[in-house]
Amino acid sequence: MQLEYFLLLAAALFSIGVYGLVTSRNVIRVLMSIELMLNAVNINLMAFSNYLDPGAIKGQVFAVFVITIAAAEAAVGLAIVLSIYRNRDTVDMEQFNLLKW
Amino acid sequence: MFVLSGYEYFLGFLIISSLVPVVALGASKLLRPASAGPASRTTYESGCEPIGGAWIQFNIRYYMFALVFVIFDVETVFLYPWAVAFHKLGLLGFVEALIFIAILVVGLVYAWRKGALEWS
Amino acid sequence: MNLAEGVQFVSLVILGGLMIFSALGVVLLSNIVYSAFLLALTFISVSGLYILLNAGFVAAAQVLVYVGAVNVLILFGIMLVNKVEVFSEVKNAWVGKAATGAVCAGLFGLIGTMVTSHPWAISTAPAAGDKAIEVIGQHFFSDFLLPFELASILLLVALVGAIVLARREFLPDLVAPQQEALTLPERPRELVAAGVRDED
Repeated sequence: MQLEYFLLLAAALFSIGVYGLVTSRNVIRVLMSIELMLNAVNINLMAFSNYLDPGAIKGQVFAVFVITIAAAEAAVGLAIVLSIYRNRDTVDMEQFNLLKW
Repeated sequence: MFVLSGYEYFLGFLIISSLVPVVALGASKLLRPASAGPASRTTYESGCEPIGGAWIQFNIRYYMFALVFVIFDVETVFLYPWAVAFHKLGLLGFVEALIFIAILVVGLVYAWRKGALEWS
Repeated sequence: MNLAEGVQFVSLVILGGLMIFSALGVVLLSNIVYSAFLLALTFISVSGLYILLNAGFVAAAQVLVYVGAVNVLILFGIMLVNKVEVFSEVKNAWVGKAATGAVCAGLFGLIGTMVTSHPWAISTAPAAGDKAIEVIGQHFFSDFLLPFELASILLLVALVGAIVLARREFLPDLVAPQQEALTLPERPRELVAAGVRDED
């Protein structure tokens, strides 16, 4: 059980999240990829908290805040998706070009 | 280094509970007659004929309830450590937690006034 | 390696493998409902990793918030926008996918090299262990007090914003017709039953 195992797992999860974020066509899958990346960050925080700072565990406190922000982000993100879906009748990222030049 | 206590029982229960669905579905797979008619592939609706497909658009009220639930679920996560460490935090911690709750009660009142908690 | 360490290592391998493969399924499967349920499996595996890292409370919070709330919210979102939609083909989409895959593999290689080559200063201080919840509570009310209170404001803003975005705020008949040059190319809004009450 070493610190490096957890850091490598977190790096792999983060890379998968970035891939999904960039290549997904469905908006909801983009939101899921963002959740994957936030989870990777959380694994990093927890690993550092356990191996480098086991007494004060500030990493765990940070992880709770990250969970909070992820929950708020999912709620607002899905509300935006629903709002766009009602106006444009699609969930395709390629057609969300209202702000595109 | 693993320092938490009591998780050996957790592991035992995890293994047992993950075996339950495997055994249940496997036993029914072995015991049931292998009939593959079109009726056995329809959606199970407690004996009624299913009307329409399952891929329909649902009412947005489901989303409203889930939204309110998410917010107050996160509030629970914040209040649990406060309750555990209550005696060490004293009166000041109590007041601070009351401020925390009061801010979220404003959101609850807003959701209530906007009708996000009503089904009709 | 004694028995406890062996069990922990096997758990780490199983949980890590589950996490990586279900995350790959989330990203790569074409059916979005399968992706949503695999996302729940990813969250549960991550929660198991937290237990291996001596963080029982955060593991419980992960299951409570992510699996119990965020994943349900995402499933409801899928149910609300559920429509069999064939995406129009984009020319040379594979170039973008291959480039993104190469960049992500490079990112993983970069982080992996850094992680394995850096000499980490492993602490030998006594671990908080089962007292972790109490320590977290004391952090919330001493040095993390301002983020703690700001978190409630963030949740309030998210609740109000999501309600405003998701429900209709006005009746379409009362809206004055806008000038053509100022309108965005949107579908005409029709009144649905979602959350609209008669203002009396």
